[in-house]
Amino acid sequence: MNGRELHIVLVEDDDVDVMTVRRAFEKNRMTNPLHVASNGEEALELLRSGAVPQVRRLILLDLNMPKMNGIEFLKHLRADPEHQSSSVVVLTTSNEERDVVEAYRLHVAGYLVKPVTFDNFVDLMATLNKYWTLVEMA
Amino acid sequence: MRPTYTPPTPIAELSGQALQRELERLRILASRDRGLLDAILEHSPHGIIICDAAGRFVVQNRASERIWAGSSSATKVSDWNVYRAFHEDGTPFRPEDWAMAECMRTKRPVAAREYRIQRFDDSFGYLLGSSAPIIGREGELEGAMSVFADITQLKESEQQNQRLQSELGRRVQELEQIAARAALLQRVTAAIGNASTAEDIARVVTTFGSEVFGADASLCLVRHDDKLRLMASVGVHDDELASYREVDIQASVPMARVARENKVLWLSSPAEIAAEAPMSPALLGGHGLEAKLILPLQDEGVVFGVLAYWFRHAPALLSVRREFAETVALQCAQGLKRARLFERERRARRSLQAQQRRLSILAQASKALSTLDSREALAQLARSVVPELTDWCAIDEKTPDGQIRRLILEHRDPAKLAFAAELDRRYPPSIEDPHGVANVLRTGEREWAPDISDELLVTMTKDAEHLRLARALDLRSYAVVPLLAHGRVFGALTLVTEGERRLSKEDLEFAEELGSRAALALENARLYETAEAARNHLHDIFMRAPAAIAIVRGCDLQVELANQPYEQLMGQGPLTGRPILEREQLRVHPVVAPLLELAVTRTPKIIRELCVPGSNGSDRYFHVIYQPLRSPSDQDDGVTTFAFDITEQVVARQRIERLMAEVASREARLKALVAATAAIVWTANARGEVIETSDTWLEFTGQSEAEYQNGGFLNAIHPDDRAKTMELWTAAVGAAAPYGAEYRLRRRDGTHAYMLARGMPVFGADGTVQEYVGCNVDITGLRQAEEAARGHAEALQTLNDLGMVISAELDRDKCVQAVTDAVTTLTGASFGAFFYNVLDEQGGSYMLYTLSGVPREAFSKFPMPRNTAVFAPTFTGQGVVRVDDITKDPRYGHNSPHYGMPKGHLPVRSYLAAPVTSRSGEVIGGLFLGHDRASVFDARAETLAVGLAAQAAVALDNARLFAEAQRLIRALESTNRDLDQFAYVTSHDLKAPLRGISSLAAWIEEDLGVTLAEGTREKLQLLRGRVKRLEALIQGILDYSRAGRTDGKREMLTLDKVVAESVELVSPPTAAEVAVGEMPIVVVERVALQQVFMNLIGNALKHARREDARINVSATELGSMIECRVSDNGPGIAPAYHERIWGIFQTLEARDRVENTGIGLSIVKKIVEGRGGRVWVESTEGQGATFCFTWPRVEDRRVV
Repeated sequence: MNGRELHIVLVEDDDVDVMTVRRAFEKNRMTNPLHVASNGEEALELLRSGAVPQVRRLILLDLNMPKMNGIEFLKHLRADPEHQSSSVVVLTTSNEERDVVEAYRLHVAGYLVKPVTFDNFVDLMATLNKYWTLVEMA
Repeated sequence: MRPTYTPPTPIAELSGQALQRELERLRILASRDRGLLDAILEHSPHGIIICDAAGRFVVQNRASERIWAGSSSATKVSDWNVYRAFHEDGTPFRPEDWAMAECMRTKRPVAAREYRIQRFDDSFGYLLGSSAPIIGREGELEGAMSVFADITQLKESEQQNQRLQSELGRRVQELEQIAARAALLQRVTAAIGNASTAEDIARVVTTFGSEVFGADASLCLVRHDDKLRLMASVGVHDDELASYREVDIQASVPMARVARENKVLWLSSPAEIAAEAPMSPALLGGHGLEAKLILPLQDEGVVFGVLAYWFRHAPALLSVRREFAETVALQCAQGLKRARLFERERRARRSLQAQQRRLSILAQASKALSTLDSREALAQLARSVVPELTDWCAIDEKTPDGQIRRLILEHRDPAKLAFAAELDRRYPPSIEDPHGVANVLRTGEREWAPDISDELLVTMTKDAEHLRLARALDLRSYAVVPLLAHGRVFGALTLVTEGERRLSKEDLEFAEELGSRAALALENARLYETAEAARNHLHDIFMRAPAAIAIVRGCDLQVELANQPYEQLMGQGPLTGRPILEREQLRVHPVVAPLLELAVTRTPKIIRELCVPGSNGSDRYFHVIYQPLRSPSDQDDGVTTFAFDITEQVVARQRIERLMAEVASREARLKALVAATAAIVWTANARGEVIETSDTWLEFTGQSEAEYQNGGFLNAIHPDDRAKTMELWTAAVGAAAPYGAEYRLRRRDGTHAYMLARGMPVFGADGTVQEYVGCNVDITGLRQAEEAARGHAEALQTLNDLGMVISAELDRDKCVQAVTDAVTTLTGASFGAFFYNVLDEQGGSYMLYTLSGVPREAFSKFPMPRNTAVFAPTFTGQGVVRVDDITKDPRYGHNSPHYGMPKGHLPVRSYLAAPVTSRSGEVIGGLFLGHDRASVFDARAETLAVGLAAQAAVALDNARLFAEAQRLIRALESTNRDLDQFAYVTSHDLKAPLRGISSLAAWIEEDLGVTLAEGTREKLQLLRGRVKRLEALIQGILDYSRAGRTDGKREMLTLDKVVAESVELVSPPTAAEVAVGEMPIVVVERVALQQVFMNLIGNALKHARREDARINVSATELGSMIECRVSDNGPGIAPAYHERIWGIFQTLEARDRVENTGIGLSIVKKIVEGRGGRVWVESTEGQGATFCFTWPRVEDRRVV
């Protein structure tokens, strides 16, 4: 909004899903910088590289990924003192209870189940953006 | 003939001849007239005297001479007094008094006047004459004429007449007077007659007297002893009256004198009055009296009063009047006498009436008092005297503690009653009061105050207020009489009057009479009440007497009196007053029959014991006494029957007899019993010394009598037991308590037998111990049996424990060890071993073993027992092998390599082996027991071993099954996990690309936007549709794989709740209706059942093909299952497809028409069948469909 933008880190392995997010952002004229990592390991590297500012960052996390899946990544994240306080919103297709429970146990800020339809996804992103914008301002 | 008088023709007018003629005529006339006149004068009967103006008599006719008996001439008027006349008053006439003189004076005639004359012969007479003046022509007086007639005779006759008349008048008057007097007398008499009281009479007399006699005042006094008392007076001033109220009969006043002397006194002048009564005061208001008339009132010579009449002006007391007065006095006297008599009579009558009234009251009171309700009687008594005799009546009684209690208070006016009650409440009477009831109660004397003076009121009241109130009651007189009974004062009767009424002496006596009657009546009432109470009491006692009593009299034996027990005994209802003989049942009644006998034989008093048969075999017995009654004349008058129910005694007696017989028989039996059971019977005295001999003891122990007595019995007892036995015996004797001991007693043959010794103290009537009686029982066998039983019990316990262990313990090895230990212990083996087969992972079997009684090392070196002759039976499961000494058994020692036991093997002589066979018949293993001694194992041990082996088999089976189950469970869990993982991964990984495809297709459409051709768009739509379908199918597979595998716990649910939730989750459209019927309660896993319902209901809604879908869900219990039905009003399903629809991915419509995975029903089927249920459909095309399934009502605790 005023230079203090929220950086969105998208941890997602599926290209189409990434495209979905990008399109959703475009649709809503969301200009937040979007960083993409295709699995947990890459995401950690990305965060530690400093490419993403410490504060004002939101991690959208997919759970099913190769090498290091979302839950594992979360564990690492929460174990890392530097990054443990990062806000994470899980964005996944899985609605398995055990995933939900585990995610919340690792202090995610939200758990969103990816619908298949695009429009809902767009709305979802818009809502997210708005929410985080508001929250950040407080 | 009247002299004619022709008016003279005036002379002047006449001439000579005429004159002459006239004169001649006149002379003729004149002579004629003269002649007439002379005739008249001569013959007139009347005397005529004519005089001239000087009074000289001109003419006096013959009549006049006759009348006057002479005549005299008179030349002047003053001479006329020769003619003598008198005025009325006797004064002589003066000449000018004559009428003639008067008329000459007045020149007017004087009409007829009467004169009383004295004739010239001195006789007297009367004249009636008139005089007229003669007036000349010029009016001058010429003379007078007087014409008179002798009316002497007339007068005399007139006078005579007058005299007669006056006489007549006088007589008439007299008669009138007499008549008046008579009438007056009559009136007086009548008035007197009407007057009833003396006062009235007196009043009458005085009033009349005044009238009659014209008296100004009259008084009537009546004699009372020595005094004259004023009864009535008229005309006397009040202040003077005072002195006449009472006159002493000896006083020197006229009245007294008259009374004393019985003479009429007539004082006709003040002088006489003064002479008679110089002291009499000035009367009549200061005016003096002129006359007094005092008459005595007497009857038969006795003066009883005086009548006095006073006159201001003395009347002429004619004798007639006097007589009259006397008559009046007499009348009065008689009247007074009569009045007195009448008065007396009336008083007497009144008194009589009063007396009669009193008597009637008394009679009424007596009648009232004749009621036995004393309270009522008193009330009635009080009511009978109030208000007739008195105004107040009160009855008080003396309470036992000496206080006054008011029983009755009566007055006509209830307000006054209330007032009096209030007064009593405020100032309650106390027994200390000096007057009234208290006084009477204390002294027993009556109290009478005929006139309550104010002072008396003051003394009787307690304070000023009390006095005021008492005064307000206006009580005038009272009488209080005591109520006495047997000389004791128990109450008081009070009468009080108000106003004018006073209580006289008669009233007092009457009160006493009443009081005494009341007292008597009360006493009677009380006595009666007491008597009545006593009578009632007696009657009660009679009626409730424990015996049946009846009195009969007469030849027909009429029941005079029968009490209730008697009537009950007869059982014929009430009997009193009826003849006994009237009823057949009575006559033949056993209690009645002797009556007849008595009546006939006349014996004195019969006593019988009778039996009265009861209705249901319960006979009753009676001790009956028949007592003849003797009347006062010593005649036999009847019979009294007393029947005492002695059934109980008789029954008791009978029972005692029976008991005694029983006792006798029991005693015999006891004796026999004792003889049968007890080995020994003995006795000891109260001090515990054995004195009497005991044959049985001697027989048993072989001791002699001498050895036995004086404590010698101890010697037969085992030495170890002697001390204890003696201790117990001494203690028991000391405490007079039962004795019991066990000891070994030496038999005759020297062996010891276990004896149970028991002794009981025998108490006498005084409670002290008379002796001890005892018996000894041989319990050797018992002891032995006990031992055996104990052994059995132990074994059972062990077996039981073992059983519990086995059933609880699923660990095979532990089970087996337990069994081995148990069997070794129980059989008494020194060691035991259990060899058993197990299957390894590969399915091969091998042998394990447990040991008991020896450590494992003892056998570790040795190989497994093999199929030798000894072991074969066991391992082949043939049967139990029990050998007393294995080393001597023919089967032993034939097998290599050891040919017997291996070296180092524990020595075994006794051998017991049992196979352990599973339920399937397979030999699982064998139990081997050994003992180094021979013949240790008996049949019991064998049985034990077999039993234990069986238990071991069961345990092993269970353990095996359990292990198997565990293994399967683990495998299943593992599979499930794999499946879950697979499903999860699959769904995610399969769905991801689908998502991508869908999104890309959408983006392509978007990107191309309007440039997109319609066909292309359509294709893209189709593309996305297919993607969706694929996703649905994938989800379906996932669901299917997961279906039925929830691990929720069972809950007790009402099915309708489950169904309702399912319906909600399905969210039917508003037009659709899902009806849920009554559902049973189940204990199931909710989620699974819900899934089934959701699928079925969802299906019904999806395939309804109508807005108003109607779905009915119902469930019924079917034994251990429930049957659920979901029916809809959809298109229905043709029977051809009833099976196919349950298959996975099966749809009845092309997916392009209805998007349907076709998974739902297969899921339902999987879940239901997984639970052990069944699914099916009932439907025909066009008739809707009903999907049914069964489900267990209570699910097992299954781990799936």
